Amino acid sequence: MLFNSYIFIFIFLPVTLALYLLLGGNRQVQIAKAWLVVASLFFYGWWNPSYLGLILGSLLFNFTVGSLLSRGEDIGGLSCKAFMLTAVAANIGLLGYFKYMDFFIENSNRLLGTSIPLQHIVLPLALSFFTFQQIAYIVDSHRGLTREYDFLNYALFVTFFPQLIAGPIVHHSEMMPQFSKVRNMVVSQRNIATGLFLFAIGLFKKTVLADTFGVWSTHGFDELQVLTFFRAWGTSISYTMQLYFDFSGYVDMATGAALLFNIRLPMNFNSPYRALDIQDFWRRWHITLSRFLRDYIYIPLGGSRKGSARVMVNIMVTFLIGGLWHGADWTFVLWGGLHGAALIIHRLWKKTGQTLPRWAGWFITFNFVNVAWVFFRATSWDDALKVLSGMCGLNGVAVYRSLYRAARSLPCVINSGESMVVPGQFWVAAIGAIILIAWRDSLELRDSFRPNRRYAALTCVCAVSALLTMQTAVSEFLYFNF
Amino acid sequence: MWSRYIHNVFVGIAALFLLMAAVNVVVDPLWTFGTPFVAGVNANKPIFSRFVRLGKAYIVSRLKPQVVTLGSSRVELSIGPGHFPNAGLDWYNLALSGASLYEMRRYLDHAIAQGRLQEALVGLDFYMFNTNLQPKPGFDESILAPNARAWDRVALAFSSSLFKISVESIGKQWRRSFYDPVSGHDFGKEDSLVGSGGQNAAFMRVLSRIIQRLTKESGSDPIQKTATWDQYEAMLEAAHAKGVRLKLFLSPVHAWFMQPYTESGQWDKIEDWKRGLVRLNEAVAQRMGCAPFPLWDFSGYNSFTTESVPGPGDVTSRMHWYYEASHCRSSLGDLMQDRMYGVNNPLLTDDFGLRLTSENIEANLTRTRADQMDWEQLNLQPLGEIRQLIIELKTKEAFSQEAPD
Repeated sequence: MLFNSYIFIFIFLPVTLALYLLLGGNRQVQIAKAWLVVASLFFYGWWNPSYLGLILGSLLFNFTVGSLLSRGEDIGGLSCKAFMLTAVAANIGLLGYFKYMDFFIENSNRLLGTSIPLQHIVLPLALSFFTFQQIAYIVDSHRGLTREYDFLNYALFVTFFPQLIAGPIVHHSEMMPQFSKVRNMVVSQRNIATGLFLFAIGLFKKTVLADTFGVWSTHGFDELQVLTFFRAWGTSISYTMQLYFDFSGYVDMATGAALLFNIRLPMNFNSPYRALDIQDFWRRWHITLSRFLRDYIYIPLGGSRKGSARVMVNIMVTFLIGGLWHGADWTFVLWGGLHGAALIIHRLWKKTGQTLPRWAGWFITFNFVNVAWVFFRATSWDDALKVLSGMCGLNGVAVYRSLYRAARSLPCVINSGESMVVPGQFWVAAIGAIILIAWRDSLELRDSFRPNRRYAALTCVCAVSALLTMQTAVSEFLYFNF
Repeated sequence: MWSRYIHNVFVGIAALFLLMAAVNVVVDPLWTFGTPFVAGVNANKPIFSRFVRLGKAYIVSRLKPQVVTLGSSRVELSIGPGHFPNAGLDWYNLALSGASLYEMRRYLDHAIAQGRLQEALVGLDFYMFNTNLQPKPGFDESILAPNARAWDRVALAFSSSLFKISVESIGKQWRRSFYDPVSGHDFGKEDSLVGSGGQNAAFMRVLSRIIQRLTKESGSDPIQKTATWDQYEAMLEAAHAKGVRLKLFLSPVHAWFMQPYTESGQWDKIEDWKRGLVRLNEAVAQRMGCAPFPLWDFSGYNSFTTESVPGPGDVTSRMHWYYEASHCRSSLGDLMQDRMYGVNNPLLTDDFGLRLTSENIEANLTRTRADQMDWEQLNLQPLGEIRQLIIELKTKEAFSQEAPD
């Protein structure tokens, strides 16, 4: 079920919330939690009920493993650590089978000359997200960092529908105590008001902004064969905007929906396109993924404790894994590698003690991120090269017919033959993007949120314009693919 | 404080939706709600002509007419209100520009489903029987019976797409609209149909399109027994079964319009098409134990279809009966109706409108062929113009095919 669907907004969410708060208000705590788990599984099974067994099996397995590990004793002849590593490997194996099987087969066929047929396995929704969450849980169980949680709380931690499909990648330590609090089961008008506000903003980001930018980026990446200079930059920037508004819109909706249930999800975005350097960017973009990679890959690899050369290797390995997590393709690996390299360069630059003006830092960071997204979006190397060669001006600089007369003396300028028409959608998308990126992001708006008429009007306008846009097109979220 | 905020948000969202619905209903750009006309607000429906398939489906379900006309833009333009000889019956022009037979059949089903339909005038065109013809954009099964639902109109009131049309309609209230949603008749904008180049140029434009189409589709056979004939048969069966009287007719296209068919050697196909119309009409009637529906042929070479066309360069003269080669004016449509309903009109000539049956079809075809040859003898100058046009277009076509990519 999509957040941006009428059935979710007008039926699933109100019914689930009403019954949950009713049960919670009547002190039927366990039944309320069970109801929320059942509703979340229904939400998940809406796409494909056959994968319900997978998620249920996964959470039963990991809860059992976590419970055994938290005792701190050897299990079945294995040391605690070996048992933990086996469980982690099982989780990675599951992810590998569903997500990377064809990738491995394709590459082994290419390298070893084998001809193993591709399996064309469909990736179950949310597998990457709930696998990471549970790996964190069993690692922390081994470290003795988990408390005595009951199964219902654990099931809720994994399946809670606002964050189930595309994150944020929540940590048991921040979620399970919230599910345990009885106080969180009564109506909080403040949370409902704030939740509605965030949900409306997120819905607006997704339906009005992301999907509009998506039309332009799809046109450039998937439909045009050759991209001229401005068209290529328009395509790449459109995707940069689409991805941000799509994902952060999803997270806003998830955060807003969770708040209705008095659950606070961790921050996942903090105006990433205002970052002044690449390290700053990763403190602002998909924060919960960065946190997971840092705590469960980078630091176990040695972090920054084993000398500068090892730090660089650790950074690169972490980002290559992060890239591969996003998708089973070498373009994702390269994207991760580019970011890893940028972080290493940034680290070396910092050591020189030199500083750049703020505007230059922002300009370099934004453009690097924008160029790197080309590999992230492209479905093949040819696609990526098509866009990048256009951005370098290798296919000429085409201008509108009306501008050609003034610009034709410049080198590489060609007449596109098109008349200049700026659609109304462009202004809506551009103004919305400027407001939400350059002025205030939704979380800043949330922090300054007051129950006054101004915010009420903003909520209404965002909700109505999004609901109207949904009449003509409903699209999936990009991060559902990862 | 917080509860008031939540209350305000829900009230605000509901108010914005209701406001949008109110704008849609008041402006009623496609007359789907039947809102009374108010000058300067909604009296003009300048956007209607772009959404006739949507608008007419809703209007027919509201008006529930007793008589409808079906067909293409020829019927849209020629069968106007105010002349319907069956006085006292509610009438609606349900013709659609570029209609396919499938669309016509579905709109006939839709009109029958409203429960009051007694009669339908059905304009049949040769192009409709082309096997490759698809319904035009805007055709939507879901708004036609039996798929249409009562709440569709409520959903339409809250439609953002309609809201965009409403806003556009408000901004264009100053522009006079020629397409009348109340009668379904297109009154025809002379400037658009004829253009500034005069009627000779308008005729040649239409012929160019026909010639190009004939060249491109020379391989396809529009009269073979295919799904298009099944649609025709289904219309006849549905009408017989529901007791709806059909009056079938072939529109009076101008004599110039037919010449490309002669020149391209496709005259035989036209004749076979007419034979097929007659044969199937009578076969279905026999099978259903009814009398065949009257089938009128207004095409061919008669006093009206051979009206002389202004010469090249003459931009001011206007023909009495025609806009251009394919579309006649409603004055000729009135005469067609008079003929079909047996109204005694002194303007009617005996050669206008022949009722085709299996008994007279061959004689009619033979006479039309002779008339065609007579027309060529008497119209050497237009014949030369048409032949010149065909040569030019064929040369251009051959050149474009040979030109390297």
